[in-house]
Order: sequence, then structure tokens, then C-alpha cells
Amino acid sequence: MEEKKLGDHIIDHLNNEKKESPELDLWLEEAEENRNTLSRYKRIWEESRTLSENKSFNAIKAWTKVDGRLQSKKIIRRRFTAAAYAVSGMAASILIILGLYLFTNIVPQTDQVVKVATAYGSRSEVELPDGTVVSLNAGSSLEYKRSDGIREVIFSGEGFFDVEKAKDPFVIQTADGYELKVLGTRFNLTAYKNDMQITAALVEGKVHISSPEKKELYLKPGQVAEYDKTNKGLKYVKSDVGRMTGWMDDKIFLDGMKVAELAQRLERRFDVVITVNLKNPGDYHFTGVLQEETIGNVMEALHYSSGLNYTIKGKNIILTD
Amino acid sequence: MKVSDATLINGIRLGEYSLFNELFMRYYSRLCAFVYDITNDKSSAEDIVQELFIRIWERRSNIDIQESVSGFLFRAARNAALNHIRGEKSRRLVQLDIPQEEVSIEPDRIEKEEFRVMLEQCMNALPERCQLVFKMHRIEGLKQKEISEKLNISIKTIKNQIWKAMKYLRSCLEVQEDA
Repeated sequence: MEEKKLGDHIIDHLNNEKKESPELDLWLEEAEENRNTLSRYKRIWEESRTLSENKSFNAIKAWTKVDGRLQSKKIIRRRFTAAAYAVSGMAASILIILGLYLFTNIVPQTDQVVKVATAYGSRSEVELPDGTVVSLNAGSSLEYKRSDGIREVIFSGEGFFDVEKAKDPFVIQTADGYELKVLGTRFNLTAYKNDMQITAALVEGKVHISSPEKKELYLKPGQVAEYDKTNKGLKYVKSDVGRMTGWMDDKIFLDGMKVAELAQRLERRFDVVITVNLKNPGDYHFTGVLQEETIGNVMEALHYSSGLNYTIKGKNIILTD
Repeated sequence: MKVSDATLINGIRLGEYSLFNELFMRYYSRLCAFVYDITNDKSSAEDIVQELFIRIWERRSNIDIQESVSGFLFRAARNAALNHIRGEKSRRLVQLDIPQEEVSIEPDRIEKEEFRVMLEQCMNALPERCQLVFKMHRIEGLKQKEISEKLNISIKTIKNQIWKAMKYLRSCLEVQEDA
């Protein structure tokens, strides 16, 4: 059959299968290849019809949204990086700051102390003059002198320290007088002022810890140490280092967590105020991993998993039975 | 010359924002329609797909695609959609590694979606006139007679254009499928 004629027959057939066409039938009987060809055309014909579904989703409009979100993240990053450059005044010491709301204060040039603090709901990353990089979780602060050779910081909150190797030890003092001396290591330190414990979890290297009472401890990779502010005890605890650093991947590992601690973590992470209004708060234990991006989603998750009820009004959240 | 999916991904890995935009345009609507079939909710389907693209851009340097790019995208979209559905009940609270096959989706569904993506790409490569006629007929669902009146061309010409389109699409798809 002539090629063009075949085309007419096939199109007619696709448009109306019931319409009889002896010529097409004959062509189909000729060879299996012909039948395959027709079935391929049929698939194209039918699938092309389904493409109209796409039209209800507007890619251009959606792109504006996605682009806007990505750009605003970039601008915030740039703005704070620029601010950091401005305050450091020295190209060599780069201060990279990624937090959303971040307060940088510098005590005037005389003693050159730099203080970086993160507000609730934000985080940042700081590179110190010696090359050490500290990721600060929400509600944390880090203070250091900006002169060469000195490796000493004052710290509160939670941070992940990636300490540059050097001959001199790197010293971290917490606001409570707890002291860590390290060489080149990577570890997580949780030392919020209003927490009852200070916790250090080592990922790599070696850490020496001493308490104000001169108790000492060495940490090996994978080990976690805890200092109890009430009974002044310094001891190893069974915990998973990966869980301690989960905050850097936006995860909160609950692990049998109680309401009070969870509320505090959420307050820091999302910059909210949580009021616990439960008859028996001790009855609630939370297990699992929270990975939600908004406080609304977190509350919803907790509601579904534990039956806890909540109301959100702006930054205020009330938990009820 | 149209850039291949693999080239797009390689460029995106290196931070080429314009190629990211191209990938988005190429797949957004298709992925939304696909996710919509799972979630049955239009606005959540769009949210899921937008989130997916934002994640792709933010983690661009770590993208590791072993399969075809479209296979990767549809699989990722399906997983996100399933997580969303399960999330309605338990959110993402329970565990880290959620088995991905709880909700059954016909197994050849992703293959089908990949075919549609290729088909759409081939269709967009058709000569202008031919493309217009074919789209009016298949996508907008106009009858040959209606197209003839609208464009003021004969039914014979329309049939020719449609056949031309079909032949092109068939060979274009064969090339793509082999790639």
C-alpha cells in the first residue's frame, strides 16, 4: 500500500476504531512488523491525549515560587557573609555566617574580641582565625580573640567543632567554668546555660575534659561524656554520637525524651514559646525522629504519635491533654 | 540543539542555575500530574514537586543518579508523595528508613511516565505548523473539521500534518528509547 494512503488509514483507524477498513486489515495481516508498528502508533496516539492533564499545572508560575525561595536563601547568605567581612575587616579571617537572625557584636579594636551569637530559630557557621570551623546551633554564642596563635573560645549553647590541627591545644570554656582541651578533632558540644548537663560527643581525634572540680576525662571517637551541674559528676554516658549531631541535618532524635526537654529543644529550634499544660507531663515519652521543617508540622506529628493536643497562636504554643 | 537530561544534571551539579531552570520546566507539570495521581490533592502535589526541586538544587553536588534522570525524578517524586500520604497518619516521626513500597502503584507506572516525558519532548521538537495541528487535535481534542475551520486549511492538509507528526514521533521515540 502506498505510504501516504497507509497514513490516512492509520489516522482514521486511530480516530475511530470501529470503522471498518479492509485495506488496513490486509496490511496488518501481511506481517507481524506491521502489527507492531500500528501498536506503537496507538501508544503514541493515546499517550499524547493524556498530556493535556499537565496543562492544569503551571510550571512558569511554580518556577517563580521556587526561584524566589532559592534566591531569598542566597541573599540572606550573601548579606550575612558581607556583614561578616565588614566586621572582621581582615580578608584573611573569614567569618561565614548562615543564620537567619544573627547578632554580631565586636568590642572595639583594643582587645579584639569577636562574639558571634545565634538567636532562637537560626544557626550559623564561624571560621576562626586558626582555621577551626564551628557550626552553631540555635541559641548559642561563641566568643574569641582575634589574634594569631591564641586558640581559646568561650562558648555556650550547642555547637559542632571541627578543630584545626596545631601544636597548641584548642581550649573551650563554657560560661559555667567547664573546660575542654583538644588538639585536632571533631566533636559536638552541648552546653546551654539553662540545661542541667553539659554533653560532649566525639567524632574524630581525642578530647580532654576537665570540670571545675578538677575531675578529668579523655574521650575517644564514638564516646559521649556528660557533666552534671547539680551533682558535679563527670562521666561517660551511653549515647549515639550520630544522634547528638542530628541537629546539623535538621533532625531531633527523641529517644524516650520527656515533654520538658522536647519543649525546650523546639523553642530553640523554631523560636517559639511553649507552655506545657498537661495533667501528668511525666506520662509522655517521645521516641523517634523529628525531621519536620515547620513547627506546625512538628506539632501535628506529635499529635498523631502521642495524642497530645496543641494550639498555636503566633509564636505561642500551648500543649494540652 | 536540545540538551540531554544527563548533560543538564552534570551542569546542575556544577551549579548552573539556568540548567536547573530547564530541568524544572521540562519535568514540573509531568511530575505534578504524577504525584496528583497518588495524593489526589492538587496543591499538595505542587508543594511536593516544588520541595523536590528545591532539595535537588540545594543538594546538587551530592546528586548521584544511577538510572535515567526521568526515572530518578519520578521515583523521588513517588517516594515524596508516599511519605506525604503516610505522613497524614503518622508524619515522619516513626523511623528514618521507611519502606518505600507500602502503597502499591502499578509497577510499570514509572516507565509509562518516562515514555510520556519523551513523547512530550519529541512533540515539542516537531516543526511549528505540524506541532500546532497535532496538539490541537490530540491535546486540545479538536476534531479535524474544527481545526480546518480555525486555521483555514483543508482536512487533507490536516491529515497529512498529523501523519507527518506521527511518523516523526515514532522515530524520535525509537531514538530516545535506545539512548
